[in-house]
Amino acid sequence: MIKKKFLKKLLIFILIILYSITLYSQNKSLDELLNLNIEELMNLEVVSATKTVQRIYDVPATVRVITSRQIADRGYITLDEALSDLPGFQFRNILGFNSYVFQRGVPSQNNLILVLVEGIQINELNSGGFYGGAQYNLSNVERIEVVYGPASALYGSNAISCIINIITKDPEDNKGLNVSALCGTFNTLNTDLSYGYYNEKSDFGFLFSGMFKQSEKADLSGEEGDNNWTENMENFEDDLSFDVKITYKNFTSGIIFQDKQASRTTNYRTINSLYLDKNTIWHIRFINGYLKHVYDKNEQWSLSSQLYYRNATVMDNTIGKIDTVQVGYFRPNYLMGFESTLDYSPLQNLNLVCGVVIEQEHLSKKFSYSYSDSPEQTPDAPSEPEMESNELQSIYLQAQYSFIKSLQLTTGVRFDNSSIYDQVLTPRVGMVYNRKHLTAKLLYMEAFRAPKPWDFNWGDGNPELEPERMNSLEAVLTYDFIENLRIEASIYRNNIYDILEKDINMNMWVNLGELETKGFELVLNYYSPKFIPYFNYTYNESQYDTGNKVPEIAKHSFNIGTQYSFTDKFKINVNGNYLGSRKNPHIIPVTGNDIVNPAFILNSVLTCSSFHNLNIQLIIKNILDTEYYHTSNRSNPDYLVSRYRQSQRTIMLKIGYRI
Amino acid sequence: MKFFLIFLSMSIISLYLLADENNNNENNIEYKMKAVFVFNFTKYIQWPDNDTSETFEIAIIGNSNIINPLKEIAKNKLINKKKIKIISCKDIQDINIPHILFISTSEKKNLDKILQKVKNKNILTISDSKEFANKGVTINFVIVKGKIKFEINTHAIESTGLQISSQLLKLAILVQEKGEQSND
Repeated sequence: MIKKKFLKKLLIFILIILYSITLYSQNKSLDELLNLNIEELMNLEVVSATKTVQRIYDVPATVRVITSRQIADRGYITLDEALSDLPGFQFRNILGFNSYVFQRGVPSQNNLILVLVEGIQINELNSGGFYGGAQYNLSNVERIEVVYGPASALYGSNAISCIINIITKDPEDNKGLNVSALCGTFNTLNTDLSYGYYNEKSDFGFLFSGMFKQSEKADLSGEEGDNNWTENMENFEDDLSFDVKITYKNFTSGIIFQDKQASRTTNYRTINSLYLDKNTIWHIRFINGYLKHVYDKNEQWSLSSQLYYRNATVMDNTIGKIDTVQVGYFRPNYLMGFESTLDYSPLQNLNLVCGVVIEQEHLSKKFSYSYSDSPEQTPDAPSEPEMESNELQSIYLQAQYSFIKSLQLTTGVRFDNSSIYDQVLTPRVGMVYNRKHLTAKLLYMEAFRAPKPWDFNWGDGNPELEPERMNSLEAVLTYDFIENLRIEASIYRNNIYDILEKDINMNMWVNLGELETKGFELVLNYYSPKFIPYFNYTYNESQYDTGNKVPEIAKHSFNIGTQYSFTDKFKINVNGNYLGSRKNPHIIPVTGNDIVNPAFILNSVLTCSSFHNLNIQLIIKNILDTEYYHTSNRSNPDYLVSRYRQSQRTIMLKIGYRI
Repeated sequence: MKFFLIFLSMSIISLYLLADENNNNENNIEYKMKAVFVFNFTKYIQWPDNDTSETFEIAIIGNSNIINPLKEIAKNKLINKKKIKIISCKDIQDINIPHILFISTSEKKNLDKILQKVKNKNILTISDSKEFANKGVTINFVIVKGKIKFEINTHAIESTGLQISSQLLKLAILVQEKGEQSND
């Protein structure tokens, strides 16, 4: 149970502050806007969490946005880093082929969070989980919208903990040539390039953006990594990504390409085990293609439609592990889909959104494997695995009605009819109150995660699996007071039923009991032209219906940071992340207990910008060289890693040039 | 649940204590952005050297939500090292010779008369109404795909005697006075 007294005191404190504030100014964000140049102003757009464009204050969900400027100023290199300064996020970074993101107290294999790029899902198709890490081309990101809480009523399966919507730049916002190069410790290299063209007369534009990134991430050899691996261990990640976007009048088409090749060394302990810590390679490739059309000539309604293709394939040169032989993996998957959304406002105070989705996917039932004859020999490419085809038809309807100017009710429901998991009905209800400096939201939402072939077929297989379901209740209060100071408090309770868990003894995935997570988030943001501090705190407690605490989740975490501009061209960013102690799923042999200690990590970025179109950044991650760890959910003591050492101090220099 | 209800109740109470019944800021952000655009435009436009005025005057004719954010900017900012003076004009006779004249949508019927009055003077006219650029306003805000863009009427610039940076022209949608868009 949450310590109610503590939370009550905290809430009372916040509300007392709100009561006692004198309203000094209506100047909510004018200073913030005044710090933008004309090009940046032209790029601003209202964000969306309802599949239609809406003001963030009106959206019936907690939405937090990471802007392109924050990505640049704070030196984010990976998606995980960008998320780490937001409240509610925790991580299990295995510094290997993947890293895992937990949101609001629910650990997972990334299959409770939906990641979209340009509105198209990029979660891996076979498991439903997205890949964390460095393969996202952040230099071409206009903004990242994070919609907290369940959203299956609009997005269907996997939208349980949150949605991360990555919106890339448009050709008209990124004209000309941009190049940048970064190098740093742990053999970190990153180069990116973009070229944009836009012709106003013909309303035609295209944008190409490409990125190559490589890094060894940390020193995990020998004692540095709890003696899990030898001094000669290999741990690399190479990411190649490119985005192409073509716009012509109301049509937009594009390709999102991500190719990730990483060592699988950190998956298994190699000292005192059969496994080797060299020559593994996990090679996964994501290709998303889309064609969109928006009809918005009528003032009362608009229709947006998109045809999309998704491919997430574990390539056939993957060497998943090496013990006495090398083991090759291959898992092709692709999906074709169509979605059409009608946005109709029959009355001034009524808005309806109605959409249909049709998808057909072709997925591998399991990996296919190949084996070499020795640890040194590379195996042949595995043969094509057995495939299965699934169909999905969905329809969703959402109504937003304003009773009075400042009070808006949103109700919505989505019906999914799947050839795998049959029929699921998912509702949502939200109430939003907006008045001058204050926004209040009360939200009830449901969501589900349908089992995928990865769940159905792992081990001995379990065809009887049911979707795991979640319902969520949340209240949010946002208040803008004094000049440019914003406070946001949200309180939530989530219940997940029929949790999908791997049962090692039964050698299959099973539906287990219930998990409840309760928490509180407090966010403070201040803005002035020279000084931009922020702070957010998260209290979270998660437990199973058995009364056992959910491991890997810290009760307390906070993020704090500031940007200070010495001049227009020279600024510094300093930010810190605190993660409280967490219970490891098993005893850590090195410490003899199951506690992963709390840690505070400090990062800094020095930026010298716009000097002859040159931008220079010195990025230092983990300035204090703090030794800290993430949990491990591995359970086999013979070869699995008990906890994960995180990166030591990392120093990087980045130079960018705009032509 | 009990805890949740306590929080909800307190939130509702706070709504009543904090709410200001007379305020509706639906369009504030859009007009704040437009006001910041106006302020930023002045960095790319050069007024004649013979300008001896002590303040930088921005006049607004008609009813527009841009006036409040402009007044806020005027409190703390300078343009060309001069204090900013915001003038609200109720009719055409009130227009003197400001540096910038913002023409509200409400003045659609009077547009020709307003443009006639400021013709061949060093006044930058700005508006945010459909077709105003085609009719002779120098800079006109438009919304394109949910973002604020601006049109510049190249013929209108010439008649003002103002010099506009090519950097600003590069960002604008260029418009001929007769209503056709041109290549940049």
